[in-house]
Amino acid sequence: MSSPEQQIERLSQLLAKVQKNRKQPRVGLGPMAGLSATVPANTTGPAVSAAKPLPAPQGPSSTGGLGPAAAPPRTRKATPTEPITAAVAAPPSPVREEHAPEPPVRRPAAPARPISPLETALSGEAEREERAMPAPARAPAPPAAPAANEIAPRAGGTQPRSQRPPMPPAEASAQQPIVPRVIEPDPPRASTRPIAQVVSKHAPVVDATFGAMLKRSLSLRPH
Amino acid sequence: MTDAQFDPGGFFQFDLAHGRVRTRGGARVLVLAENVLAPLIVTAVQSGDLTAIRTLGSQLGSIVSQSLPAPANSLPPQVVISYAGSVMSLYGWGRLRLEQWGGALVLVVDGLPPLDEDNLAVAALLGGIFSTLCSAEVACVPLARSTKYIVVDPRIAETVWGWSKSGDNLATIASKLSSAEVA
Repeated sequence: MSSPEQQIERLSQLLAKVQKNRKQPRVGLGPMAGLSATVPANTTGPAVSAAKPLPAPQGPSSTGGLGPAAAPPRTRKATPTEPITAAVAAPPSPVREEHAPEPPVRRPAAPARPISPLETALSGEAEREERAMPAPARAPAPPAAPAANEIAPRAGGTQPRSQRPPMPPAEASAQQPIVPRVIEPDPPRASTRPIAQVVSKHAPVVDATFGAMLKRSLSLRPH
Repeated sequence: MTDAQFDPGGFFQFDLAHGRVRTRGGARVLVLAENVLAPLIVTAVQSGDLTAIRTLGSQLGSIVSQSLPAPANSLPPQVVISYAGSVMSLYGWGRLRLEQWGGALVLVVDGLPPLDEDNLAVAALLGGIFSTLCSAEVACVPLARSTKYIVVDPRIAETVWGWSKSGDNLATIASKLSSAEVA
């Protein structure tokens, strides 16, 4: 019941809710937000647009894509901090339905247990999003860490990890300059043995000086 | 006799971080496979220009002369050959020995890789080494079907080369040469 994955889910839901509340006055979030939450934070337009057709078959979200003003009032739990779009997006995610009421109570207990890499990735993402939110003109979103990309498969595609509104493709591409990654080789390890090694020597035995012998040889002429 | 010996320790400095190999004197060298060098030498022989090989010999001769405790002409032959042989061995040019046939000085190089058919490249190398080492122009004429090179005056090198190509062995060639005058 309280497996690490479930706790992670609850943490991510909490993060998403906090962020939604902060975003709510500015940006409308529909059911698309719940679906696109499985997309990494730095995912741009194409992935989001691919998720757009999905809200239509979902019955409760007949106002999908219209934003919080068009969303029906929530009757399930109605916590003050929960975004309206969460009610719209609730049907596709039974896991979230099960744990949604609990996070405000259990949140303080989360740091007491060991933090998994997944949580680290989530918290890192939350920090990045919190940094980005207060600015009126949103700062460029940092590229997603590798760990953040790894959590998408584990979430099974149903758990919202971030409900941050997707940036328009043009804006996202303009704010994320491509930085080349330079991979330097490791410095060579110093050898404890000399690289050059002599295996044999020789010492010819010849009398007289070399100069005398050479001079004699050079003075030779044909008969 | 002298106890002086060539010290090969640390002769090559392998700078692996920068991919460079330098000699003790600071000259940069490249390590080549013999099957890469051989066709280059054959091409040089066919074009009749062994200047590069002789230049290499001059560089080796300079290394030898700088390592010797005294000028080569004043040292015992075994010391000079030991130093010269050590440097040649370090560069992978085989094992150098010295023979004396009457008045003729004969260099023997064993363990050479197969380069050109007539051993003209090694002859040029030896000529460069001993010309620089002794401050005198020296020609080393390869003797056919052997690993020996007779040290002669460059002016008679073509004649001796002709004898060797015609089949004369070293004893015959040595007997054809007479010591004109020894100071």
